[in-house]
Amino acid sequence: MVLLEEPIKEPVMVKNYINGEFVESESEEQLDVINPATQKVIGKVPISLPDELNAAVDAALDAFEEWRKTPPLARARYMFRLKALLEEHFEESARIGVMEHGKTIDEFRGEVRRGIENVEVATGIPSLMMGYNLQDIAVGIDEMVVREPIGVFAIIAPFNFPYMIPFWFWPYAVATGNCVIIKPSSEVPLSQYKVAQLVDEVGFPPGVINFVNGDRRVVKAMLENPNISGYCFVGSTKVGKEVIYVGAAKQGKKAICQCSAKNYLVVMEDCDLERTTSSIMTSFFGNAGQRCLAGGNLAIVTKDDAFYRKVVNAVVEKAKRIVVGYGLDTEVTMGPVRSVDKKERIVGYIEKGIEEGAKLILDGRKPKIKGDYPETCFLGPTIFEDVTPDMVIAKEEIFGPVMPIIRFESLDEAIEAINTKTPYGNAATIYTSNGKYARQFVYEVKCGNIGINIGIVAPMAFFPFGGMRDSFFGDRHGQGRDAIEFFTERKVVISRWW
Amino acid sequence: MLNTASGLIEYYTKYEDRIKSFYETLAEDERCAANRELFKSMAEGNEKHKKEVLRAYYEVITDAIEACYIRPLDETKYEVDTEITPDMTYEDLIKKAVEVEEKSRDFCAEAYRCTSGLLADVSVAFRRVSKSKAKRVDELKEILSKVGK
Repeated sequence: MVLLEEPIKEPVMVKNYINGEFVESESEEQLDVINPATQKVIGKVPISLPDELNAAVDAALDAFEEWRKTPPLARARYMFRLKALLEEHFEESARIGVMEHGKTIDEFRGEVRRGIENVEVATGIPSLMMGYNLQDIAVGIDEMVVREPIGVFAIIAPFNFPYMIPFWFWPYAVATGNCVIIKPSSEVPLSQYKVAQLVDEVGFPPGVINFVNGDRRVVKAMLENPNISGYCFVGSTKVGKEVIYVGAAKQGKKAICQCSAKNYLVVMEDCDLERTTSSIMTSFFGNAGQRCLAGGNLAIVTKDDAFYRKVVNAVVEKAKRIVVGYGLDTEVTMGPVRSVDKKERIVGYIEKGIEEGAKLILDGRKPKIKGDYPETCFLGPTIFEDVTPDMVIAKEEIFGPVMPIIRFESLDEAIEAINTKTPYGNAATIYTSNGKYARQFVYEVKCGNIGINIGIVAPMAFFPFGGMRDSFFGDRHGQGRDAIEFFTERKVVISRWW
Repeated sequence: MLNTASGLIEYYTKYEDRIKSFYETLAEDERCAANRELFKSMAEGNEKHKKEVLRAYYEVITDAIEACYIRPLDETKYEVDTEITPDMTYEDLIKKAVEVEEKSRDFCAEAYRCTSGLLADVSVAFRRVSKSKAKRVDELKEILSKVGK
């Protein structure tokens, strides 16, 4: 067993980063940042005042005119410098992330890598931002489209991927010439605080990138500030739709809202069962189930009782082998959930499943924990069978290590359930070796991210992060070309020279 | 038993360092003066192997590739004895090097199997290193066959 060294020795006092300087919030309200595995306080984060957010917006607005005139090639070079620093601090960032969030070191290294990949894509901004043109739309007249930055954007991050998710947006915003205000999750602000320190070291002009910590009151101030041009939000459908998307729309502002999910993983009889069950494990129990791309329902499509039982037994056996503990222990394969209230919510869903008549075949409520850690935030893998698509545990996002198993007799039935029994359309996966099934699945399922023999359908940085129905509000997604389009306005120029 | 990618990488890093140190010692040992350059280059090779695997792990690891779980690997089967004592002859030292290389070749081959399917790049890197170590085994056996002739 190897327990990796903790990089945080003393509680970190998080400051805001406004106009190129780290400043203490004047707010008297602070929250403790608690390591969910050890329950130790590892930091304190301020709930910043609306005036502090407004000061950051003013700084960003001041910086915008100069920054937008900075040539894209020069802006790209800032990104190259940032990429080098992020690499240099890769391991430290990953371990800070494990301490603040709870996921395993492998998972957080993956998160850091995915964050950096967005910076890498943004270094290509001179090519990505190009417009297009056509000579002689009429004799002697040319037409072209140029992309221009817009202004100041607000980025509101969730707790489940504290390091990576802000990177889905801000490297593209900044590389295209905009300025940003990032509000890290108040539960897990420390890995973003590290990013803020590296941003400062890169030497971006003051005001281009600002970090303001806080809770929904900061978000409210963001929505009320007329100088913010758009919002990027990842979180629940309730907040994303009703607060951010509607709030932005009322003011004619742009918004990307990537929201809740309930992802089906569909197992066909012709799948490679060994690999499929391994993939299923990571999808349901990786990150302790706290991701919008996590498996939400396991759908086994078969009329054959023996096959059904074989799949169920295989997933239960593999789930039993999951090692629950502190994510800095390299033998651990599942960390705690982020907080006590999240654990209580998940336990509530387990109790609901029992009440609804689902059969609990693996109960994770009293997990065996590796090492001497308080069980406060720990849960083990939980598996239900005899679940029907109409049960609450099959329709709502549990956001924890819980696997409801639903049996279907045909792929058509499974697709019907995916498209009609849950309002969400974030992701869905089919495990099969049959191309016809795979094509039907891709064609008919109304979800933004489709996997074929992929448990976690996480788009790479150079592709947009999809999402449909109640999983997404907006018209452009985070990452890749979508992000470039979101953060720029297209201007059409028609010219004739006499 | 190694059951995660991070556990495997952590173990392998130290494992390769130990073998590298073994060859560095041999390169400085008067009993192996005839093969000084070879052992130096083998130590450099260990460093390259390690970098290749670490690069594959750190540069492609993502939450999408099921990085956390690997098929359990029993590392105790591949422990290498790198102790060098004054009473060992040149032949003993070469024999020990052959054993070290065979064990580490097999370890990397097993790491390839345990990570294949889930961690494609890491798996491929282990396979390449295992093949490289197999060549080193042949090279050392060739030297051994000439001892005393």
